Amino acid sequence: MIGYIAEQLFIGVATGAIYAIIAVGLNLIFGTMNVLNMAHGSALMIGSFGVLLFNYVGDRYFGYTNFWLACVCGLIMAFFTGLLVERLAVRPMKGNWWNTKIATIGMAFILENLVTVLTEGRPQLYPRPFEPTYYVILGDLDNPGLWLVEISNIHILLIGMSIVMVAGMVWFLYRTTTGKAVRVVSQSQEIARCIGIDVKRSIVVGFGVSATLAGVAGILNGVTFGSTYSFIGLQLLLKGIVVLIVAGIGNMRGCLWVGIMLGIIESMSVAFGESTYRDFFSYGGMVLILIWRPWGIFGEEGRVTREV
Amino acid sequence: MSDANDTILKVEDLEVRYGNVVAASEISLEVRKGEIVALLGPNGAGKTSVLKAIMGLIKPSKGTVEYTDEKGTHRIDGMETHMMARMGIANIPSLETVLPRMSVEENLEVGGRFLFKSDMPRVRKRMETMLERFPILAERRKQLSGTLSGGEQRQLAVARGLMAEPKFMLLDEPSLGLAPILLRELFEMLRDIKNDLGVDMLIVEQNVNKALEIADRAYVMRIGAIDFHGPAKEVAQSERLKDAYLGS
Repeated sequence: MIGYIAEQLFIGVATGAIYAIIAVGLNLIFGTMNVLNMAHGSALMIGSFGVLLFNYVGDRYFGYTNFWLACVCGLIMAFFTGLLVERLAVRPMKGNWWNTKIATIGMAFILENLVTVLTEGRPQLYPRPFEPTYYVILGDLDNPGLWLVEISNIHILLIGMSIVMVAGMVWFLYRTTTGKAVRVVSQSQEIARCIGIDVKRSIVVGFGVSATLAGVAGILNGVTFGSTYSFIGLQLLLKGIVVLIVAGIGNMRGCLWVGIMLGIIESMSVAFGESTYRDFFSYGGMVLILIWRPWGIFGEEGRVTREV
Repeated sequence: MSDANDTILKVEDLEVRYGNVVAASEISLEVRKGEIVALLGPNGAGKTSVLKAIMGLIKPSKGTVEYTDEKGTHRIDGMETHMMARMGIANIPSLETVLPRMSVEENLEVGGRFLFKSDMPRVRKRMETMLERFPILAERRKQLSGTLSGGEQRQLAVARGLMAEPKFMLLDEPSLGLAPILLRELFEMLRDIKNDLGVDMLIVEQNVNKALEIADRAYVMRIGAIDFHGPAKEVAQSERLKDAYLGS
């Protein structure tokens, strides 16, 4: 029993880590542009399919596949998806958040339906960097009983990656010149211009970085579940939005904690209830938390969103 | 006292439109070396529009703006604002003065960081100079700037502008929303900055008396056009100044 709970806990933390990475990427764009990028899930989906594309082309024409090189390919494709979304659906809207939101939804549907056509709507098997191996943390494998707790190397990879990604984001935003520019733009575009920041470039950089993070989430999700499909982005985007809003806009570390919390709530509701109750608990929890603190758990009091 | 070669900023026949509405037209003014110039006028006269057009924050529909530094004279109308900042023009906006979610220190840091790129020692040294000049900011250096009082925020905005080691500074209504007791302090501070650091200024201001106390020359705007201009002392005594404010 303990072993089962622990296993569910690890699964929860690992999937929560994916939600956290998605929310961090959304947070970056919401922070800089005050816009919810509804095409964020498309970058995620393109990133996850980039891996498959690399392996497919490599296997078919060169007889060569490599998971890690494929990841690089996926991330580059996600990065360019971000730039494409900025160029076609964000920049032409000239800062009007409502138009931007609709245009990014449009981009999301175009990209996702394009991939649906290309893959004929079938879920695709996902490669793994290594076969999952389980390590015993607690108890004895020969004598399982109540106390056997195991963790797989895939889960360790997921949890590790999410911590690295969030720490990397915090470092980027607080320590690098480019990151500082993004933070200044998020607080006042006018001041940013006056102190010598190229605002257009900062926004492009923001979209590129955010989309690359989405690509990471897409690849990790594929690895976790062993498959991916063309509408995966839309489904995960909603979870990312929940995490972003519950954590509070503008707080990167908050996204990590809330993402993991959401993952655990989901896996526990599956463990003790039924899988159909999963979304009931996650979205219901969001509503309750927002009644208590409309600006999110880690957000600044009063900063709900400028989008009202 | 001065000839045309001393001109730092020269605005000629500038026009600003918002759609079909003309906010300001036929604006010509200049700022010379060693001067504080005030651009005065009642609410809605178009002062801030002129300033924003000079800074490239809005696009002027007509006219030219020239800026002269040691390298020569440059046409700056139509130039991106951040490129002007890199030429040594500091701009202190009036409504959004500070970056509220950054500490006082970080506000100062970003004032120099994007202009001197990787030269962080220079930025840090300049920051210490600024904190000496503004002791209140030094006391609050770790505090989030959104929690400062209005007067402190205004000081921080000016200090952040000075981080760029500018030759020329544009200030949009520095007195906006400040308690009267802080006004004198603020304007004395601006005069000291000009005298100590040799930063020339164009100040857009509603508080006529205070602005004229420190300005060398003044332009008075009325309903989107410059009504008259002259040395600050003459403007202060002019009947036309009263007319501009009270209507006639």
